[in-house]
Amino acid sequence: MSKHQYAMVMDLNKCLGCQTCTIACKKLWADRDGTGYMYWNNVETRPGLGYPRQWDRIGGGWKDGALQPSPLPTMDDYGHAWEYNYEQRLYEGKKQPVMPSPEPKSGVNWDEDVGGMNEDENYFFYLPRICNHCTYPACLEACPRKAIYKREGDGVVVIDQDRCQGYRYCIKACPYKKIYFNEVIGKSEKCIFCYPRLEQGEVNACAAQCPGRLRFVGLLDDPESPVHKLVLVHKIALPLFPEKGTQPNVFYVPPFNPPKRENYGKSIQEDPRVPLDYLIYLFGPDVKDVILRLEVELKKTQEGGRSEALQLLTGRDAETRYHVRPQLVQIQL
Amino acid sequence: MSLYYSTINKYIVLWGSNISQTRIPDAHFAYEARYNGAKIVCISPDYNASATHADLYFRINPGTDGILALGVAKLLIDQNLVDAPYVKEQTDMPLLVLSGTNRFLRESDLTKGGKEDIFFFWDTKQQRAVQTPGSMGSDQKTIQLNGTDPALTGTFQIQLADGKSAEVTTVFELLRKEIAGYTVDKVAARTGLPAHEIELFAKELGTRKPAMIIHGAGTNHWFHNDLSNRSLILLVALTGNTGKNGGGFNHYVGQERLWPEQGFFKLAFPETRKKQRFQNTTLWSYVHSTNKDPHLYNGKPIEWYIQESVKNGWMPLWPKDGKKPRAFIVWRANYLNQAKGNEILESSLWKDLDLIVDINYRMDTTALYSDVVLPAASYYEKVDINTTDCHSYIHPFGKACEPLFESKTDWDIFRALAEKIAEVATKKGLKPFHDDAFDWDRDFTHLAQDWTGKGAIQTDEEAVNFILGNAEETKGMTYQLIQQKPRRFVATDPESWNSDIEEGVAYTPFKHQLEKKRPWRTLTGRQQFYIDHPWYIEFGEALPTFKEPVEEKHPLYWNTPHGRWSIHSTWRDHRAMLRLQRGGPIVYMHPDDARKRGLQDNDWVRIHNEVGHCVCRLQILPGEKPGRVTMYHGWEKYLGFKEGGWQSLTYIKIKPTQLVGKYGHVNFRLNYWGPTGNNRDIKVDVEKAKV
Amino acid sequence: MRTRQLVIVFSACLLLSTAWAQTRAKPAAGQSLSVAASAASADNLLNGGAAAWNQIAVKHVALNRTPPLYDTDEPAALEISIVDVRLARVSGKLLVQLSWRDPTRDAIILAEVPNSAPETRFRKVQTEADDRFFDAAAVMFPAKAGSGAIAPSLQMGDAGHPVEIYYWNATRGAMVMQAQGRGTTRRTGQNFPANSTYQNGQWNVIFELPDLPTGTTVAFAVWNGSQKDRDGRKYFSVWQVLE
Repeated sequence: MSKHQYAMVMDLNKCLGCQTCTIACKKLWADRDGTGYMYWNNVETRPGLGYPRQWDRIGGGWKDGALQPSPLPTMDDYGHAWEYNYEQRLYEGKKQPVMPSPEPKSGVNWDEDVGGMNEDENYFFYLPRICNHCTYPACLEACPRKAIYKREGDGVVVIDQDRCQGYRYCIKACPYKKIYFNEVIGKSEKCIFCYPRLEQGEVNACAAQCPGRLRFVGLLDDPESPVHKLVLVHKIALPLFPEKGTQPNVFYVPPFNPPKRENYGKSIQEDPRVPLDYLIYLFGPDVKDVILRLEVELKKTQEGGRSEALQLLTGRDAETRYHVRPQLVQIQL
Repeated sequence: MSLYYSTINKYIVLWGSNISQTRIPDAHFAYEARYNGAKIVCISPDYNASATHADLYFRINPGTDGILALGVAKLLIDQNLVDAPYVKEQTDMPLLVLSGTNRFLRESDLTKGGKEDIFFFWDTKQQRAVQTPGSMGSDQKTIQLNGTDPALTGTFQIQLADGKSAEVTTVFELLRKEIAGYTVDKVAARTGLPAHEIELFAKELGTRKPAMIIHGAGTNHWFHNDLSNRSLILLVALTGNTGKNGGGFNHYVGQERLWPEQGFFKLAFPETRKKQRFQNTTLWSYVHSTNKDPHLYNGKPIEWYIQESVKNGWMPLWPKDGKKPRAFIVWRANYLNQAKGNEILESSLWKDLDLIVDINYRMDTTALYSDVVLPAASYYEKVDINTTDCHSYIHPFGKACEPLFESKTDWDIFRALAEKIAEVATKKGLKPFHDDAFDWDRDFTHLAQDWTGKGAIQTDEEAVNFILGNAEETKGMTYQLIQQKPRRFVATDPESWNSDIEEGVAYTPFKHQLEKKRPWRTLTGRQQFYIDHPWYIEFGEALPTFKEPVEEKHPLYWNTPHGRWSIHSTWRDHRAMLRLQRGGPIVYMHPDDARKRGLQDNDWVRIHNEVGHCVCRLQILPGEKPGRVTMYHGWEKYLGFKEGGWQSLTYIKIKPTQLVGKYGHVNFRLNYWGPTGNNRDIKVDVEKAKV
Repeated sequence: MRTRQLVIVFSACLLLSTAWAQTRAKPAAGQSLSVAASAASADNLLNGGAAAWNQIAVKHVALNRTPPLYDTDEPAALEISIVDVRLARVSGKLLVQLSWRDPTRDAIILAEVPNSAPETRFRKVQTEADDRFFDAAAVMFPAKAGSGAIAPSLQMGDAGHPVEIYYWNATRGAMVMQAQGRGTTRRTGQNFPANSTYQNGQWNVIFELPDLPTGTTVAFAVWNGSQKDRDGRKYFSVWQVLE
């Protein structure tokens, strides 16, 4: 058990699907040899294939205290990092258009904005995902070399690149498929919750760059932090797939979509655009209560009142949204 | 230019604007406004990333925004939700119109030798027609009503200059008549929206204040955009929202202006804007290419209207006298890739030009097709300043490094050109001459000196400081100062702008008009919905009305909105971002339309109409509207298409009413008014490509 | 039928786990490995000189599958049951030739990573696949060699009985590792000479080891990439003794 636990809350009602977070993380951490296909942070459209494809249905995690099996996703499931032959067209004067190679058939954001159909009404929302830095990481347990460890000071889960031999049991064990294999160096890598930044008092790059201002970062056990308030006090942020048993430390404020045609004014309980079953699939049965309470809060403000929970989610400035506390955590370096 | 003021807004209507995609930096303010009590309505044919965060989604039929707006206007009027005091003071609704001619009642009608730009309303207190203060011809530089009470309804009798009696009525009465036919059932049928929800929408727009319409290309890029825009603006005017923080018409497409524009004018046009050849691009491109609009307008081709407009001096057209342009310099624009009618331009205008020069920091499509490319420095390699409609701060381009390789800053490029021209002029022995058009003695051998203000402005930093120092907005600022930290404008120049900078308050326009009763910069001095120009009357468009999209042969609207992945064509070919999409240009289609055509997701397809075609891949998207296909904006022609490009399907279409000039405020000026680049009426069909 | 199958499976498991758990026991007879003194040079042998190797007696060493290490590990069939071992002692080196049949050659040529830092290059080397594993083989012996010594645990040695592992991977090359029990294996950073050929469904790999004295216990392992072998998921032999 770590002394403290950094956590992140993402308000799905503010996500623009702009992928700025994805690029921020990628350019900082995963723009090296062997990392082309990796997106430690990705934003997928839900319902959808996910990245890698079908990650939510192929296994991993815990059940009754035992690790659950899972195949390794293939490169087609992740998508290839297409290359482009700019030079021949732009500088060498050849007439063939610039084309992606290999020919695209799948990718990290392949079904952007597609979503699902509820009768004949489209619905979708964006789901940004990073490593959840779980309290009971299946990856940590699965590694025969004990190459994965959870930092005692702040709960960030990291892979020791010296110990890792690229066996990939961790990738199979992770129910969120948030570890990636770098075949060039023969090791596995993943989101490190930007711990080098946290140690300097800076918030994670994905959060710092988010134009939607939907991310909140802090210590779960710090009563002043927005994550503590949202998760433990207001209780409006939920983990993804809680039944997988790893106890993730990334939480989501569940999404609304507008009512279906002819339903303006109806409660979200009556024939909502996003089927409740789908939200329960993602966030567990607690989501129903959360959605209803959020609806009450929204109605309150739209009728002239004030909602403390929604004020918190407004996240007016960086000081409100990010409570990075290196002194509190006192990492033994 | 107002921004949603997220602690004040009560109603935000995203109308043809997909802010999640196109206003990434500030969309969060809208979604936070919702937490502060605003409701969000999203009106768009496609269910998109902004619709998902709305309280009410209107899946409107493409091109029917105008009829929805006018239907809502009718509901507002019928249900007494019009802000009468506001409308009486701030709009032309009370102005009197002669029933016989459908023209405004003018001083010249009442008195011989009277002015053409003085208008009247009926004062219910004095029971007579009273001059409207603040019009262009009025001595009173205020719209203060001074105790009068203009009538909004009624018909009245007045005596003309020749002694005859004539009936006048108000613009408001004419508006009511004009929109009487837009009943909620008719509007529901045409827009495809539920009648009951249209009523709820109207009720909320009329009661939740302040209310704002955020408008975008989805409504703007249609042929009859002047009508639909006027209809939208009408709504926030009738409800008294324009000129208030959190309210009004918030456009994010169309012409944008520089904030410290007076400083910019002094630098760019030292002889004033009167001595400059400006040109509306749409008109110029149409005339100097083989673009030919086949439609007739009141029985006449557009060429007739163009000729009239140019003859009357309404719209400039260069070169004059039927001459053809010979040299073309493109700067900070991907003209060839972005212009409507790409195929037509490439095969006519582009071939006719003798010299095409592109000043660019990217090898984009225009650069590929230019004779000369002058490599320009990018954002991080030069000294420059930037402002935006979206906020009231100025910030610098910091020079992180010197221009790379052979590139130069824009300033140095133009300066080098000026010096070269002077050199060549001297070598050729060009003599000074009198430019009759502008009554200006010119001497090209002095161009370099003239260009630097007789040597006073040598460097780009000096130019920046010149602008800063010559604009009210930036008085006291220097480039060095704003490099420390971007700063808010200190004031606004009342010559250019209509509100003051208030500390702690977001800028919103038209506060001078609303709070200080300053005249609106229109012919009538008010928000003017009635335009009694003969061409407008001839087309039945004196008032906003609804007109159907232009008739086109094929079944699918060709929709090319701005998206999240580029600023027009800039970054459209960026590899890191292409990898987050499908790697290349995609056309989106509803599953029903795809099924009808035997098309599968990721198929190569051929999109075509009479103008041209392109070949790219297909994505099936349930959020798309059947009867329409979407390709997001700005794909470079050299990337991802097997044939053609995204503008291969378009051609230039000019609306006659947009060629009008010299009607008060409806007048050509740089960056202000002229025919728009519309393209949403265009239709195509799609089939599987043979690849 | 089912009972019979169960009994067979049970016995096999028993045998396997006994073999796998063999610890601190003297190797049985029949596990001796003869080491030839070859006239050929070390180089010749290292480069697979057929003439020289053919002179050397072969030992067909039985291979077994390690039992599944985790509940979540997919079961694996015994596709490779023998590895042919030949040993020669030349000029202070021990040359070991391992040959085994493997219908699939699971190896790639890794794209060369340029010397320059990735942030200075527009194009990076890509991971082409994330789910492949490569053929490999290894020779393991006690770090403290000597005759009569008690053999360490076959499971990578144990505390007090460290092992050296000369590991060859068809893609990543030859490297020296050390361990003192499962999970403690670490690369020393040292390489060693090794050569391999693959022909007609057969691997031939030659290891050049430092000379090991008579009586040294040696064990062999083979990994079959197409069976997702890596780590302890592999084929192993019991301890052999060098003559």
